[in-house]
Amino acid sequence: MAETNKPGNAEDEQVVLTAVDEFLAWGKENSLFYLLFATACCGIELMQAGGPRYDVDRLGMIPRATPRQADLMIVAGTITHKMAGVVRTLWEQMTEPRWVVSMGSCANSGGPFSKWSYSVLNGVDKYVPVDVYIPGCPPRPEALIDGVMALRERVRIYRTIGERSKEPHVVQGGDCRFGGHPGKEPLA
Amino acid sequence: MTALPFAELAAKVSAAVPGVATEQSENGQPFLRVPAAALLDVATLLRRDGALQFDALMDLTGYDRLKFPAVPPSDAIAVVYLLWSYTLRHRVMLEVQAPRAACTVPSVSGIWPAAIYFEREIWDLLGVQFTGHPSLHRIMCPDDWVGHPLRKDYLYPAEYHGVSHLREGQHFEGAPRRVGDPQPAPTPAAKAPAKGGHA
Repeated sequence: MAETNKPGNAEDEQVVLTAVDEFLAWGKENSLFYLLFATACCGIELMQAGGPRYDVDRLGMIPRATPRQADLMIVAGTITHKMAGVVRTLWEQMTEPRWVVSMGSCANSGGPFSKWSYSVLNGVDKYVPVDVYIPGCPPRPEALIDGVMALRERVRIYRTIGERSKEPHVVQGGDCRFGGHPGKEPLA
Repeated sequence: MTALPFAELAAKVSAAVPGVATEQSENGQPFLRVPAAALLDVATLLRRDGALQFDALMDLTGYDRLKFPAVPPSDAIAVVYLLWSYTLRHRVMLEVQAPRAACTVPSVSGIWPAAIYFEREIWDLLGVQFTGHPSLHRIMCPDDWVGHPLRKDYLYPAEYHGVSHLREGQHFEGAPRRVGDPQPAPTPAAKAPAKGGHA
């Protein structure tokens, strides 16, 4: 019928065609609820990133107090061997697809504690798979947002069926003693 | 209601309990050295006596005297009690030493309940057995931890629950020896230890 194809026809204009996965990925990418999980001074930077100046809320990132409502776990701070089991439990309680950002030198590799400490876990990736590493001691909120933007790329290409990239992303940067410090020129 | 100076206080305690000695720490702070067997008598006196009235155990800590600087090598573990009287506004420090092999000190948790947590910490980190403690178990390290980390001859673990301590390929020059590491070569006696360095 010719009449139904006219511009302004209600049936035509209210339909958007897309793949389900793309639509879901778009939704997930723009609502990365994160688990508030701060164990050391990186947590201060994480809170700062959630505050009004950096305001990750505008990226759809709302802090959640329970892993069951969270898509993203930002491991912000030193993880001891005693705490590592708790991290693993929290991660297991998150629903798929779940993402992990390792924030700061301690979560990446033990940081300043890696040599002399008997109790600190040298890298949270020994217990949970990490998608993005953010160097810094602690990383600035800009670096965290940089890492989140990289993670959003991964969330966008994530498909329900298919392989998920095992290769982690590392935020680049460079002058901090225990890791990178994006947002500053490297020291000579 | 007057605060007692240390000398009077020490004289009072020494007269009441034999074996208590007055000593000075390296920075000149006087303290009472108490034999472990007399600790409970001293503590009860300090707590109950009308002229002493030490109603607060401000801190209870300890240290390993092995490799301790400026004293002859000792195998003792020292437990230090910092007491304060809110009513009389005076303070005193006690030190008790226990040999590493049979490291036993009576618990003062019946006199100052605050000692329950402090003694658990010292047991956890230094391995001092407090007899009479209501529930002496680890407070900081996990319950299945091996060893007492603040002992100076503590051997660092190589792994915990199958998770290795160091990252793959990670090596630190001069790092503490871990379980499974080769025995260190004996250092020549002539070589003086680096000043201020880690033991």
